[in-house]
Amino acid sequence: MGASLTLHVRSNSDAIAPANEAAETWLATQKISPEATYFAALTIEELVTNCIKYGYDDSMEHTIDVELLVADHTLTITVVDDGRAFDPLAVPRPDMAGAVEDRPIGGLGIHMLRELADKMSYERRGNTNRVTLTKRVA
Amino acid sequence: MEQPSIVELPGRIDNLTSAGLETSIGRELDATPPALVLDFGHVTFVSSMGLRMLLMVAKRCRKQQTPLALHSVSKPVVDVFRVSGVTEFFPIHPTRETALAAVV
Repeated sequence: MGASLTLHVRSNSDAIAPANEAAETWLATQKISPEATYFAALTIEELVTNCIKYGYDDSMEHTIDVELLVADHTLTITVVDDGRAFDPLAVPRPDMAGAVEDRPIGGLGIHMLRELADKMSYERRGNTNRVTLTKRVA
Repeated sequence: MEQPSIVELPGRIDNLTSAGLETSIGRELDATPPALVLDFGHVTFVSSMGLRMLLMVAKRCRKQQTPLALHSVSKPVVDVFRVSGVTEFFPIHPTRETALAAVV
């Protein structure tokens, strides 16, 4: 048995901070490492921001569902949106070599998540994108 | 003798706070201090936007030859620097005293 929290985040950048606060408050009641708490905050910030910035073809308000599940010493985060198809795992890894002036601007958030996650997967289901990330919590 | 500029950063360096921080740190650098010390003691979160802002600061420090030092950086934040391949741009010290000793 595990514990879970589902957040329905409006596709508006003002909705990200309250969502992060709600996640942080809930995660504080779970026994998880500071690294896992950070990872959850990073996932919400990066994926929801990407979705709001690039995900929609219309200007209507959408909802992005974020589910946090802690079970078997593992944090699983699932982010579901109804934006256009986008597979974050298909984004090329940015070139991290070279001088500070030459560092790429795009793709950094997804790169951070891929590196920090133990597992990350993507599925297009119907008209939704589902990104699932897992991280050991202890 | 001029003093190094010390900036205490807030808890979150994210999409909401990065632009304001870039402006306020930029103002410190306008005064061409002998060094810039960033206090990460309160920082629990750095997003990709925050990291980009910090890279811009490092770039500017290098350009105007202002030594840069960070201190009191938490482990999750160090992890993010490491996986992003940027540790070489951010000299990290355990305390403010050691950071100041390194840049002055």
